[in-house]
Parts: sequence; C-alpha cells; structure tokens
Amino acid sequence: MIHFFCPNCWKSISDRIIICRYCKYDLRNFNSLSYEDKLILSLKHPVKEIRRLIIFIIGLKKFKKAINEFSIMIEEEEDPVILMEIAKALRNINNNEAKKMLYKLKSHRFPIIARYVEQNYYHLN
Amino acid sequence: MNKKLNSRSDILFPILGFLAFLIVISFMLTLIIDVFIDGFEKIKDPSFYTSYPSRFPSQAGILSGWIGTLLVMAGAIFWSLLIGIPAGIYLEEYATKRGIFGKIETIIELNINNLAAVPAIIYGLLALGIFVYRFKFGESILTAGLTLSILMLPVIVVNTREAIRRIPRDIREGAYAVGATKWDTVRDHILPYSLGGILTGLIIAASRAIGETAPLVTIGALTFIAFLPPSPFTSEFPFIAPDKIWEVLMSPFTVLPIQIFNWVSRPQAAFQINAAAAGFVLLILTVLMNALAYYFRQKVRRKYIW
Amino acid sequence: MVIGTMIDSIKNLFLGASDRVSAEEKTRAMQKPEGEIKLEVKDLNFSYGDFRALKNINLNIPTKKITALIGPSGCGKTTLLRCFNRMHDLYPGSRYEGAIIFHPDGINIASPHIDLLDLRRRIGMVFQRPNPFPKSIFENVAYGLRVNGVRDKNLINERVEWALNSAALWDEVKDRLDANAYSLSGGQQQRLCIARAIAIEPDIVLFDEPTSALDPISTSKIEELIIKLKEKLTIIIVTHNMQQAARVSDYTGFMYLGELIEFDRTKKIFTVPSQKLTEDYITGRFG
Repeated sequence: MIHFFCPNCWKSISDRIIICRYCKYDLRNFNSLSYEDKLILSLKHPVKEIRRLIIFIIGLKKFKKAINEFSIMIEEEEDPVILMEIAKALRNINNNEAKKMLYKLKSHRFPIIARYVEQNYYHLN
Repeated sequence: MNKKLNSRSDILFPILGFLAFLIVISFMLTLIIDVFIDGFEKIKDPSFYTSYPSRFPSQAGILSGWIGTLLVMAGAIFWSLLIGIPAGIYLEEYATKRGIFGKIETIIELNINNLAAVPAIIYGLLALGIFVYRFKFGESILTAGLTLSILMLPVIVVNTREAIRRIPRDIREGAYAVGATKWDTVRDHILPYSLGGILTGLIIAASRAIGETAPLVTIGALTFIAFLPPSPFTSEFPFIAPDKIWEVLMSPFTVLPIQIFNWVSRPQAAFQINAAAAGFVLLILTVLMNALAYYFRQKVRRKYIW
Repeated sequence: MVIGTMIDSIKNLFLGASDRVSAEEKTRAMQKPEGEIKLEVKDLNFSYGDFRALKNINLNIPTKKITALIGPSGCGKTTLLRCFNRMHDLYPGSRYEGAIIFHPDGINIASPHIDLLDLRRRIGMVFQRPNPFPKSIFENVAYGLRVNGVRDKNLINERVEWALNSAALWDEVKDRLDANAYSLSGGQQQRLCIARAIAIEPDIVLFDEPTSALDPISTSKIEELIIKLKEKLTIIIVTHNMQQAARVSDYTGFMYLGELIEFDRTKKIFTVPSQKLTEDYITGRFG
C-alpha cells in the first residue's frame, strides 16, 4: 500500500485532495515547485533516513540555498547521524558560507559532532 | 477497559486444566502400575523372556512373541518408509495441483487424511485379499509387515509432508539459484532436513502399529508358536544367507498383543499374570519408541535451525 | 467508500504515470548507459495468474557496473530482479512476454526454451534474508560447484578458498570450515551466501535487498564487498534504501506500480531527476 504525505506538515493524506486538511497547505502550489524547493521542504521529513538522503543529495548538488536551512537544523536537530551528514554536505558545497558554518560546528553542543568535524575536516590540514 | 487482571476465568481455567491433566496422568500411571504389580512375578523371571508359550502357565514365556513383534515391526517400518517417504515428497514437491491430474491428486491428498481413520480390521481384510490370496505370501511375517505398513502409511505420508513444508522457501530457492535441479534439491536438502520430522512420524505410526491385533488375526497370525524363524546369520562371510532371509519372511509368527489376547482369554488365573507381564513388556517397548522419537526430534532441531 | 477512494487514487496514479508522460519525455527518462550492455530488456511484461506485475519494461543493464532498482514496496522491483534468473518458474502461473537478451551470446532469458540450470549458473542470486544451507561453511560454498559437476577435490578446495576470500570472509572462518553455517552471525551468513553465489563464477549477481535484515556495520561491509565485486561481475541490486542505492550504484532505475519510470546514472537520478514521480519519491512525498 502506498501512502501519501502532505509535503508541508508530513501528515498522511489522500493524493486527491487539493488542500491539506491539517495545515491548509495548497497542494497545487507543490506541483509547480522545482526539485530544489521540494528538497528544502523534505528537510523536515519525519523519517530520518529521508532527511539524511536529502542532505546527502544537497551535498551532491552543491545546492547553496539549502545552507540557510542547515543553520536552523544544526540548532534543532537531535540526531547526530543527521548532523554528521550536514557536515559532509557542507564540506561538499565548500563555499564561504559553508566553510563558516562548518567552523561553527566545531564547537557544536554535541561533543560527538564537534569531535567529528574537528577530526575529519580540520585535523588533516 | 474495566476488566480486572485476575478475572474469575483466569483463576478457574488453570484449575480445570490441571484437573484434566491429573486425570490423564493418573489413567496412565494406574495402567502401568497395575500391570506391573499384576505381572511382577513373571517380569522378574528371566526365563519368561526365553521360553515359548506352553499349556502350563509357569513354563509359558514370550520368546516367540517379542521376536515376532520385532521382526514384523522391522518389516512394517521398512515397507512404510520405502513407500511413504517418496509419496510424501511427490505430493509436496512434484504434484502439479493444476488440470485434471491436479484434481485427481487433490482427491488422493484429501483421502490420505481419511485413511488414517479407517478401522485397522478393514486393512486386515484388504491384506488378506491381496497379500494372502492374490500374491500367495501366506500367513507369514512378510504379510504381517506389509499389512501393518499399510496401516502406518497415512501417518507417515502426512508427517513427511509436514516436515517438508517446514523447510523455508529461501533454502530451496538458494539451492535452485546456484543451478541445482529439482532432484539435487530433494536429495541434498529436502530429504535430509525433513528426516527428523519423518522419523518422528514413523515412530508415532509404529507405536500405534505395534499394539495392533485385529489386522494380524485377520490375516491368520497364529496364537501358539513354539519355534522361532530360522536364523539367517552364518559363521562365514558375508555372514548372512539370502535364501534364509526368504525363509524368515515366509515363516509363521505370533506377536505380543496376540499372545496377550490369548492368555487373557484362558480360564486359569496364572495365565492372567503372564498376560499382565507381557502387557508390561509391550508398554515398555512403546515408551521406548516414543523416547526415541523425542530424541530424534531434539537432535534434528539442534542441527537444523532457521 | 474508503476502499473505493483508494482504488480510484491508485488508478489515477497509474494512469497519470503513463498518460502524463509524452513519448519524448519517456525517451528522456530512459537513458542508455555507456559502455557494453549485459542485459537488454525489451518490452517485458510479466504476470502471475491474472495479476500483471511488470508492464512494458525497457531497460539496459551495463556490464561490470552496479545497477540499482528502487521504488516503493510492491512496485515490482524484486519481481523484475527475479525475472533475470527465472526464479518465478519455481511457482505455477508465471507468464513472460517480451525479451531479456543476455549479451554477448544474445540468448533470450524470457524464452520458454532456455536452459534454466545453465542460466542460474551464470546469473547468481543473493537473497533478502541470509539463507545458508544448514550444512558446514565449506559445503555451503562447495554446493554450487558440486551440482554443476565439479568432482576434483583440489579444485573444489581452491574455489572455496577463492570465493570465501572474495567475499571477505576467509580470515574469519578459515579455522572452522566444518562448523555449521548457522553458527555465523547474520552479516557473516550473508557474506557466505555471496561466496556461494560467486563460487561458480557467474557473469551477473542479483542482490535482492541484501542488507535489509542486517545491522549497520554488517551493511557497510556488504556494500564495500559489492563495490569490489563489480571489477569482475555485473551487479543488479534491489534496495528500499535510497541512500544505499546512491552510495553503491552506478545506474539507478526507479520503478512504480510495475513500470520503470526513469533510468539513468545514479548521480543524475538523485540530483536532477527528469520525472516528477521520481522527484516525489526521492523527497519522501509518498512511500
């Protein structure tokens, strides 16, 4: 059985309705969105594996607009695996903004993330 | 949601269940203890096991009885495995289940389960007609073995199929995926992995067959036999004489249940002791067979886990 | 009523998938891989009983590359995989239409006249749940050789050692080759199954969600192994884990309701998919 989710609040909905009955998101808007915009929306996906994949794809695409989203995520995200994936993606994008944020991650509130970034991206050079 | 954790039925059922269990156990214990006490005088007498039946209760023994039982059971086990295992494998692995052939197979399949419920004496009549009159095997050990094997077949086929069905689909697919043929898969996987279940079924069937009297009486087992079949063993290589084996198969026989039946029907009280003692021996044989079944099951379970 | 809506929505989706896409767009969605082609799937339809499980699949599997098949559960990815070694034939009621050409010989795998034993010898398979035989570790690997008529003891020993080495398992089991395969951990069992599959030197190995029953460390070991194996073999892997597809595969096919929606280089599928359905699946809009 295939389930559909509202791309805004990620609650399970039918694929035929036009307005999400939970968050009133207009799904007609969604169909005109670009892939990049969909990726940004999916950074809030409730399934961890999907979030991780999206961050990975953003890194692959060197998609700079997502860095703003990352800055919110590194404050709110509780899962270290996701945070590590963000660090990897920042490393891939590697513009000034990304470098700045990666530097910020070096003193992240999770020691495991701070250590991970320190060892993998700063210790070498 | 206002059900209490310890509702009345939760207390009541274990008590009823335990009572039922007590009844079953006490029946069994009574039987064994009663037979043991009644026959104790003979059970402890070694000559009881090495003497032939006799007119005199004190001299009568069960030698021809237990040897007959062992020979007949050996034959029954041999024949039922020889026919039952391939039949079970065929139904489970090869039967098409489609078309007219499939319809016939489905009917046969349904009837295999019914066959297990047919009264044993019917099998006796069948065997009398086929083995004694048609094939002229006589009232022999061979006929008795074949008769009991027919009795055991349904149970063995059903158990074989169940054991095969317990083998996970993945294992078969694993074999086919490296290029094994159907026969390779049956020989190397299906048969060895289901052997434990097959043997368990065999012993269950044999435990039932060992106590059967009616079909053997029907085919003409004797009640009074004062000799043993000839020994097929020789002192020279290869230590077995093939012509003697045929003689063994064709010799007349008696078995323990018939012996017991015979003694019970005698008027003398002393024969009742013999009957009880022989009954005890039969019980022990059955318990031993069940213990063997348990042993096999455990052994195979340890070896084949998925 | 609810069920009616569900059926409607499925119909809608399915119609949407084929109608919305123009012929031109369809060719854009099916990129031909570079290099040599190993398997060429042409208009493949597959059904069991009355259920049409695969619809007009057209696909080229490149030689010595890893091709991943992704899609929501029930989309037919495992069904397609099991067409390649005709595993469906073990069960009654399967019907193939179209062709699967096995290069370089050009034999048609979907033909009813093909030698299934030879086919399965040349196209190995690793299953979703580790399924070693309840025999010794050595016998598990040697089994494929034995049923294919290898009798020479030295050759068998040699091939078993080679296969276990290639499956990165030799060092862990070399002292207990006689132990039962079920004494191994789940990850080791799966590597044993890989050794069993490659011992007979197939051209292609099919992986059916090989890590879905394993822990993360065993998973990464299997993934490393799969990447190493592509030096010698063509690999097709079905996975429900998109990250795994992104990590290991060179090409990815996205399937939905029995159809192949998009096939392209893995990096392209994930960064610039050409189909809306692919976009929505990757971004977790449905699943």
